[in-house]
Amino acid sequence: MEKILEVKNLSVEFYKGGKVIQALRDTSLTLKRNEVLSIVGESGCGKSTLALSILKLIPEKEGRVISGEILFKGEDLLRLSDEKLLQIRGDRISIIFQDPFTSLNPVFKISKQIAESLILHKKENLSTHQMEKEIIELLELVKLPKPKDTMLSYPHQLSGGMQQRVMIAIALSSNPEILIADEPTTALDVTIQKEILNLLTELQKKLGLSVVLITHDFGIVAQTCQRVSVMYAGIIVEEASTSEIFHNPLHPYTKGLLESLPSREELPSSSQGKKRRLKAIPGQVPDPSNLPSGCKFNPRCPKVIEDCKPEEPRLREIVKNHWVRCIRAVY
Amino acid sequence: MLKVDNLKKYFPVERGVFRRVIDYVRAVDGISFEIKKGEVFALVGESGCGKTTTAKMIVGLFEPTDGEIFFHGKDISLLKRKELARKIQIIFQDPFASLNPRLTIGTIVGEAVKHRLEATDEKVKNKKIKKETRELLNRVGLPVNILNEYPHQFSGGQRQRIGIARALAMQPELIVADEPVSSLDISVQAQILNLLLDLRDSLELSYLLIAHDLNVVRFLADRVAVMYQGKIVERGSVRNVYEDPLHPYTKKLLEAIPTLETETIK
Repeated sequence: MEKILEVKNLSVEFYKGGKVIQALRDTSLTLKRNEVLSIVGESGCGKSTLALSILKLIPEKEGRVISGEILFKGEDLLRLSDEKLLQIRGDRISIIFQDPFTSLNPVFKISKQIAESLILHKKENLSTHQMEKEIIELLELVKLPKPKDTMLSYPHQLSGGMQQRVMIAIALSSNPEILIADEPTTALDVTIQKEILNLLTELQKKLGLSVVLITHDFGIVAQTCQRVSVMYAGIIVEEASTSEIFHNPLHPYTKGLLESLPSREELPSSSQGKKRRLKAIPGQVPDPSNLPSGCKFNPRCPKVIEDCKPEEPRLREIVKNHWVRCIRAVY
Repeated sequence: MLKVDNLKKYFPVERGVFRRVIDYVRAVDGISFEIKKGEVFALVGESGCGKTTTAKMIVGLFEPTDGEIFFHGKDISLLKRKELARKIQIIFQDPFASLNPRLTIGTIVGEAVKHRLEATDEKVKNKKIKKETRELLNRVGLPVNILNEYPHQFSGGQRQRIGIARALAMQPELIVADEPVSSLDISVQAQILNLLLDLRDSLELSYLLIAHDLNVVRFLADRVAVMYQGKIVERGSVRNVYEDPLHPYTKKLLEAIPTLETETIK
């Protein structure tokens, strides 16, 4: 299958409080057409930085790309002029964020916000009637009930789930090829989360979208994605198909995370008896401005040996299509 | 140990210049439940169901509109703030917002110890306070030499531990844990969940757990009540409710949890 997006050796620096933070370090990933790829990780791992970098959304004062390439259908987005990038951002590649309420403008009606997006992406010569029709079609696409009422509402009049559907509608208004979704359901209730994820899956199939889904929730990964990249301290530490990651995790961090999930535990046999403890990973995620040498996970790793400390391991293909950044990983 | 009887909390909706009350938001609309000693009892539901409002009433942060809350048979509205604080404490969701950024860790936890001790001799008091503060920090898995540091120097998981130490300082019997791990990274969640269970066992604590994450509830709680729009729609042991849900809303909630089965992916 064709590779639609290729990130190659991307390194991004941030400046915060006088310190230099290596938010992304030599990260590479590939998204194929029609694929749903997930990027999983905890705070500070670089997943959101990766999403923002793809569309050059990091403000110059806050950080910059130090090296690497981002190839969209073979063309390096990092070397495009601002003008050309505008044609891609929000048009060929769209992004939705975690909190729809802060992404939507509170003083404009929904209809105006969707129209703005449609106009920006070439539908400027539509009559009011035609524009209205397009907006209603989009709202129907994201399964919003009563599209005519919703159109005339302000964001605060809609629930979180409805706002997120509006965001998806805006993101899809240009018929993009790639959708990046950064924690799209984290702020939503679990029943609404299910609906939004089902909607995204349906739309992905219907519109032939390629999706990058960023999340910290393995449950979401299992239900929606075909491939997973696990990130830790600014770099990808494991990458495989979803099935492989769950049945055969090879990096100690991935294993540790999966084993520490409460959903993995059996229900206790007695109602107030002694419960088993979760297998927690000791310590915490490293400070990105003060990373340890060698493998960044080594201070917390149950399998650490001296060789882990001097140099950071490379990604190795241990099993076909299953890559791991660990010198101790074996099949 | 704790008995909640037909508890209600209505918030008035005011309109107009004269602030006439035109309606009420029935945040909690007549709920009843009991928590036994040593039990972890969970209230689950989605946003707006009334679980946090209920928690706040039990801790004394809100006054009920109607209904009663009994602790060991005594109506808590008759207790003074300080008396209530020695029986029921709370841990909040946001470890960043719940610690005063201008106070040192020693003060944050020490103030609570001080209230409990009520010692009169200044010198003895301070020494004792410091000793107990260190013991508490140790109990929650933190290094003891952090008394002069400030919250911003710690991670989310560490701050949550500080919040737990502060809650324990009053030696309560019941701890209300309002979304204790939802703001934390998943690798830290497991540590805090383990800590909560360890403390329950070693200190004979009971918990009222407020959570929206059904997996956390499944792991931590003994019994659970499902709330929807201010009312309890189902209640029972975690095993019964999760394995054999009766109410359609409970079923919907449980079905919505994304599972780790990957056979569903095409």
